[in-house]
Amino acid sequence: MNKVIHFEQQPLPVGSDGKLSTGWWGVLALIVTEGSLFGFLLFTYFYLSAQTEQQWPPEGLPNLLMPIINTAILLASSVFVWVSEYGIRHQKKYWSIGGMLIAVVLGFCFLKIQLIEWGEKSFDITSNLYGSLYFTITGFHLFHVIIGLAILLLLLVWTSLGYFDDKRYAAVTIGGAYWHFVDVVWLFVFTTLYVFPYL
Amino acid sequence: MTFSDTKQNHPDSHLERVPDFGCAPVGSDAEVRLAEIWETTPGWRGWFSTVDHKTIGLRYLVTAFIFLLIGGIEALIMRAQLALPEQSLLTPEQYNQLFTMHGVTMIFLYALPILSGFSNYLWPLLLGSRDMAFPRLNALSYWIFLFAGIFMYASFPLGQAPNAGWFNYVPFSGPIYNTGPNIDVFALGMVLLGISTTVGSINFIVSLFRMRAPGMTINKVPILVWGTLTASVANLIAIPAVSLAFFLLWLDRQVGTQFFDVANGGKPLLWQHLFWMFGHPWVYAIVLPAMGIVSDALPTFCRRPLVGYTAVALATMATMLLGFQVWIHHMFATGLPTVALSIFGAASMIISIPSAVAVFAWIATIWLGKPVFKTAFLFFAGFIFLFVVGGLSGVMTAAVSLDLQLNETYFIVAHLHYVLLGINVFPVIGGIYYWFPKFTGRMMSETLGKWSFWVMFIGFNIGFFPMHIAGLLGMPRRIYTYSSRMGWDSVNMITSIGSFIFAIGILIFLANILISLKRGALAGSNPWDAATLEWSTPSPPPAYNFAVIPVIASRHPLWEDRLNENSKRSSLTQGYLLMEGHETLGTSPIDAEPVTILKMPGDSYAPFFVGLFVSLFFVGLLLHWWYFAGMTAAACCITLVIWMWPRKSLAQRTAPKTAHLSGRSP
Amino acid sequence: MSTYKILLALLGAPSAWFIQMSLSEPLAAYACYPHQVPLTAPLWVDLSAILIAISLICLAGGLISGYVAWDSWRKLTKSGSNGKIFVVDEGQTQFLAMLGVMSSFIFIAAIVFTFCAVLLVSPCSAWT
Repeated sequence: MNKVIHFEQQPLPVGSDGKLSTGWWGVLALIVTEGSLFGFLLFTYFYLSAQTEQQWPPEGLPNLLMPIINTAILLASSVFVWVSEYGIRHQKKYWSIGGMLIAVVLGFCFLKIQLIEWGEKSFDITSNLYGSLYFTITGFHLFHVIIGLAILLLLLVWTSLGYFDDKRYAAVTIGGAYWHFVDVVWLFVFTTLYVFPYL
Repeated sequence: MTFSDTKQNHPDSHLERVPDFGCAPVGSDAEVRLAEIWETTPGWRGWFSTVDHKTIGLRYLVTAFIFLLIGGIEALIMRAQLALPEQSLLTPEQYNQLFTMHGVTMIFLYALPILSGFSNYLWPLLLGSRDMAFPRLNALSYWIFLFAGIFMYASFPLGQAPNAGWFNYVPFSGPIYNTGPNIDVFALGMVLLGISTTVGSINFIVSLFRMRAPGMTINKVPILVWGTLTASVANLIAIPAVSLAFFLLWLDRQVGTQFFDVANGGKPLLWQHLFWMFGHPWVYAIVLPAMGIVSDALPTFCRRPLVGYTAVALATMATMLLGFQVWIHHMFATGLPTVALSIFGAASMIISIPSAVAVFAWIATIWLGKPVFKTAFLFFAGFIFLFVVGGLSGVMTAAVSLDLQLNETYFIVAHLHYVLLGINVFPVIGGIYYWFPKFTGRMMSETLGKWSFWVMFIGFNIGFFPMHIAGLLGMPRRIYTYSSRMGWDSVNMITSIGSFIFAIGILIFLANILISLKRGALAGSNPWDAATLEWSTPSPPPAYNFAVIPVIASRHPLWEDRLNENSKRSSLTQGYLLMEGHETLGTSPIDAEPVTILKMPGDSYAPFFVGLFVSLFFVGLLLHWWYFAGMTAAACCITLVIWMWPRKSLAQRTAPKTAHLSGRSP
Repeated sequence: MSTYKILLALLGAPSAWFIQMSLSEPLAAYACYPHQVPLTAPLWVDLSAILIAISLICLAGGLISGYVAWDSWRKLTKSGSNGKIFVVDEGQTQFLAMLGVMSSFIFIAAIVFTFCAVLLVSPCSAWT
């Protein structure tokens, strides 16, 4: 007797349900390709720095204080994005709005401090090979921070408009994942540009 | 299966419901309603806004084929120049631009896009879904591909086309030796095209893991899907390398950075590393889906399933992975230390193992089957032969010491054409013969088809085989003419004759398409009596693909009774109805169990405008119109915000409990 | 069969090979050609020993994952009492195990090939 295979008929979620949504898979794939981009950027750095005979970095070892504080700020913003998502999941709307707001403010702080850091450098992108690398790599990261901030701002607007509840909030999960990625990548960029010269 | 059925569901049916199971034969209420939901509005509105994967797939195929013709004409002009020694049909600079654009067109604008065309058209049909995972991204990927192609050709009529070869080595392509806009057009165009490819790849990957028909476990997907999946994963990882390389080059040229600037400590070899880290995986990305076409279509003409499904699937993935660690075999002559080269020579040789596995699987399929010698079969069989020839010269060049002799000679040109035409063009044309009935509802002429095959096959071998000899005689690539004292006259003449014969074969194929579109015999839903799911839909398939989402029990849903492998049977006429708007089923990645009902977005203008604004942004960068670039970037962001705005119709937002479901998407 | 075992069977040998390549290549290249001028002897005297050690460790990794793959495949295809192979599910688990066996085979071969290159070619030699 030939039998047609059959599945249990059970209720299935409809639409963008958290990590079942295609958007979640999409952002994971995006993170893979963006991660690869930063991988190649850092490869470029190591390739050139390994073979250089120039003074590296040209100013001598980088000052670590502000970059470390800035790293902490960026990581803290990731925590608040997580708080925001937690708030939505547990029907605490004001937690979610507040968390997102603080995350955005911290993100802007990171941006501002990084721009100050740029201003304090004695070289620019065209001065020497290190300058080209430094400004291109941090520039790429800063560009991702700006995109990430735009996403967080949108999420803040949407959360404030009451678009999401504990059943449907995939956009927050997806946008949040991107922000976490931007933060994790910074750890690699930071290690390469600031810690590695000390080794 | 009436629509009131859903009311028995959970009260929150816009968030959760039991999908209706039933059948929807042609002409039934349900079927009419599905057509209404899924069909694109006719006229120019639909033309710009459609997200139907079948339309997009055909657009990809046609556009890429036009690029093939353009690249082919460029090749013919070069062959006319090289037919006799010391000709002056072309100036050296014109010749440089022609061979560069020939390479760029064939490698970037034809080879992958045509495969994306097949995959776009076929994936949802092969997988039993109503659309790709991201229909709007699909449209975006096509528009950017089109605009990037136009962008890269924009400077061609002005005599300022890219002129440093398709791999564009620095320092020749750097700011000192190449001062015109030629290379900037190429650099920015490649970054733009990279966006299109990346977006397309993400779509394929997510579609495979989320959109398979229930029951189609990971061991039952067609090989074409494995090929495109592997290529897409590789693209995700490899494309950033080339986009970055071209972006850094653009910075070097326009901003004054020093990445490749030898005088200031930059390294020209950095370019080669970045380019080939992308370039070699890319070579496999443009052949593996084509090998997938053969693995899926050849068994139909052998009247038996593919021999060694698991081995071929693994060979596909292993080839790709190996392909990530062989890039230095393009750099054997750069003076890298010997051990470093030997390691990569060894890795390159290993690739022959999975390649041989695939070849023997195809040969065994023909051997054990009862081949039907249709045109498509001839193209696939021809492909196997050309693959073996190209593969053998590949193993030869993988040996470092031999490669030092052969590098930059016509031997390499012969090798890469055997591989790329053999493994890409032949399966693609065979694939068009095979799926043309599905695309159009009409059969292609077999008589013209067989003529086109034999003319192409003979022309190809007359044209490209002598190139091996030219290379062994020491003829370098990329020279615009040669002296008759070199002894290369006759091989070049034969090559030129062969290339024109090959072109005639392509013309016969085109004529066949045009005639068959008008007069071809009508094809039923399954004219080849094939086994895979796409042949269970009418030809051409309706907008919604499957009236009911089928439940799959084997790799050969249409041959189950014949093969009788076990007692399980796929359910093709009875399945999931899902007709409360654009809906399809989301399944789990390995086991393909239904896990969610996906709301698919309908037609939208957003992809067209995002594509347009991104492309105009690159035009702004090229021309240094910074304000214009800023404005288009802003316009692009605004369009993206509109695109991404959470919608109730897609259940991306919370909805008031009292809301009733509307059957249609906006 | 646990997910970790499947992942190890599928990805163990390929990862071992990938690591072998990614470590050996830059070391071998840098040791002989660190800056502007190629050297006649490697920067580090025991370069060969380092490369061989890398290859051996990676070979061991490949073999372990190959064993895991083979073992899973054997356990999954144990014949039942009627002599027919007992199919666990829709065949996907066996398929993945088979993929693991095959990928281990190819990539162990690749590790051995690369190892041969390391053993046969002396570091920093010229092609003569």
